[in-house]
Amino acid sequence: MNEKGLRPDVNSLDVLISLADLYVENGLMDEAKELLKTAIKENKDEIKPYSILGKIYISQGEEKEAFEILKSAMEINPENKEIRKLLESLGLEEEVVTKEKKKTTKHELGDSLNEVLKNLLKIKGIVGVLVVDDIGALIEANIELPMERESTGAIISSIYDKIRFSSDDLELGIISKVFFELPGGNIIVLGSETLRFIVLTTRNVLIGELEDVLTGAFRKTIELLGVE
Amino acid sequence: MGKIVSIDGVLSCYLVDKEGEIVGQVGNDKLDKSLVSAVIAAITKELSTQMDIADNFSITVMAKKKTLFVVTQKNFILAVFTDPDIDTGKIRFELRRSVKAISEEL
Repeated sequence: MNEKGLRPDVNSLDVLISLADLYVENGLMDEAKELLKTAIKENKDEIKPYSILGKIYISQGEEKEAFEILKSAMEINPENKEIRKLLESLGLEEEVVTKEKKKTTKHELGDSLNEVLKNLLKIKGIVGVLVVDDIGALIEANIELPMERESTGAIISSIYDKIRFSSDDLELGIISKVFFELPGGNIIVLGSETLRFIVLTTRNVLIGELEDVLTGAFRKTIELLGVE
Repeated sequence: MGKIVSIDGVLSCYLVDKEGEIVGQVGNDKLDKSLVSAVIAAITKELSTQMDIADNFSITVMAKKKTLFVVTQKNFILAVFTDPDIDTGKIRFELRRSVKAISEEL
């Protein structure tokens, strides 16, 4: 509606989509496409116009255009099932998803565990990374601080396990990450059945900004070690 | 505590003393309150002992079904259970305010 609430706002997303649907029903594909482009321009974060436009391109055999528009949608919401299905129909879903996953890591991780840890230490605020197994035994570590690696890994792992074993009592479900904010700095633990990926940071670091890169590094570590 | 629980996505809030006794609880969950308070106190005690830190630390546990925020102060522990997809920044901000208010009251 416009500011007086009397007439529909001709640029509102719902109106544009309804009109585009009408054009499609009546075979006016070029008009529908133009309208959907406008809808995307006005509502960049809304997936719906991307998916409809993608479908039109696919129906007209314009695969390149379909791919471009669906790829843009994937950048907005990589988990959208409809977009994934449409990309799948083009045989390109896997490629785009892989690219998106790579993008989320933002930083080069390296091809060996040592490189992964070394590269994480290049990120401002990260002062140490330890990888330990499920009983707290050290697998690999790279720490800038003067601390004992084996015992640090074992202590943090035991606290993480205490939380993990309490998960049923607290009805938390499977634990993915634990953040400890301590007076001397932060500890982030990403865990799987067999691994604990422990990251030590300075106190002032923004944990949210590190989440993607740490998740990427953890996945890479699992892959490199060939464990679950 | 009532203010925290009024935030969309917050399930319940527990105020626990260092011995694991429940001091207050707000929100509707089906958890065993005594068990929750004992477990929370045991976790914070474990960290406190192992790391040699008396208080003023917090733990955030991100899990599939819920996220758990725990803040420890000298005389109490505040624990908040939320939906897993909650805005953690917003909750942490509210937690800091609540911890300050509870500290003053106690």
